[in-house]
Amino acid sequence: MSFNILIVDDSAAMRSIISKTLRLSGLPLGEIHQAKNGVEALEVLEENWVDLALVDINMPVMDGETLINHVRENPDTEDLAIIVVSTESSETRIEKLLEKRVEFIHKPFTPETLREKVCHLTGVEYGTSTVSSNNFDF
Amino acid sequence: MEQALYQATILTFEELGFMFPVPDMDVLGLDPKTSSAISIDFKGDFDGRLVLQVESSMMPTIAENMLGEEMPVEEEMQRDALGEIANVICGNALSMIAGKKAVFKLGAPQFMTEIEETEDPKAVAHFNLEEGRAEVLLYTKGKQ
Amino acid sequence: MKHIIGIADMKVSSKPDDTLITYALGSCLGITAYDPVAKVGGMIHIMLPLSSVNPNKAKENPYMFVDSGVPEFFRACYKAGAVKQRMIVKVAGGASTHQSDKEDQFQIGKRNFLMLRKLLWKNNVLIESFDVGAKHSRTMLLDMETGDVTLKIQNEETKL
Repeated sequence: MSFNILIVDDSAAMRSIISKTLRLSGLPLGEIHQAKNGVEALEVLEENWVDLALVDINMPVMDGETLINHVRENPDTEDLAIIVVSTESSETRIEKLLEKRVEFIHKPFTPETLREKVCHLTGVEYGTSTVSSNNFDF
Repeated sequence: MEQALYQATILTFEELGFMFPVPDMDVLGLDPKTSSAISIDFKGDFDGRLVLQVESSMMPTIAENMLGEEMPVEEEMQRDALGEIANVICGNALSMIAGKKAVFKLGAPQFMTEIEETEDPKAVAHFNLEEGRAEVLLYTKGKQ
Repeated sequence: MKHIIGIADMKVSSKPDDTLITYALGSCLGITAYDPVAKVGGMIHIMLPLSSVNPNKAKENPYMFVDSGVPEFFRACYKAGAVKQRMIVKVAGGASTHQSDKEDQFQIGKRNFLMLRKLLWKNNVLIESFDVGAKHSRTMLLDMETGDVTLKIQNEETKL
């Protein structure tokens, strides 16, 4: 079984970091979709089957919390596995988010922390990386 | 407030940038002509702005480290990477200053095309890194 | 057979009855890599983060520094039959050598680990598990039959 992933963050750099971590984690991956705000994310979800979404909170146009509310209200996506990846530290806000059945990773995070969370959520054990060497790495 | 800026900056540069900022007690500011800066507006328990300013020569290294790239990274992505560093510093610093009950909304990071000091910051933190110098400035409005 | 890896040293093995061991990891880093399919792996004991502080020394002995030693270590593992994508990497050490961070002016332990993490990230390697920091010394063992890594800290043994 391969997992289709959606990464939602207004930072292209952060989307790239998360994408690279997923590819190194050994998770069997299908499509990795990216969106820079909640509106784009909903468009992706409309058109594609997604197994796991990694969502930032502070984004322009539509923030992560609003996106999560929309996702949970839609019967087609109400059970989507979601990991919030955010600097959010407010206990009140985090509690509210956890009530929406999401997991939470605090920025800054190490790639290993993200891998652990993803593998735990998907039930996949740490696998071998799917990244092959290029001319620049050892 | 300064303590929070120092802690949040060290944490962020280490974890995301694999860089080692050392607090610098020399308060000489960075030269705007050879610096790059990101500004983030925030609203919440108190409103204000955080500015991260670094020597421009550091930009490629910051991006390459974050992305795990050996190849040079495009300028737009370099700005994006610096913006994300600023975003993470801001979120963490505000929580350290205002406590875990506080709620803030952070605006999108803005690359500053002109670096001008129009007002006095509430707190400043200066850093030396192997790659160059950096500064984090916190401006606040109203009551904190 | 027990093989002791000294400071700024490394060893690769493909013999299931070998145990690789390194002692007294203070601010130094002990790094193990193990391919569980090929049952090939090794251990390296690194002292300092960057070879640019002493390029001549790095030429003499690349295993002294993270940036010169770790790539050589990985290549030695590949030569012995390990496959990169299968290699499990574990790290121990990087301790502070003083009572407080303020006194540990150079923070070599921390810098070693940071340099290693940057190098591995750029080279598409994630760490499986690590035990770094704090102020105590560590002994690290790699069992070549199972790939198990054991740490000895103040007379207590734990699996990493």
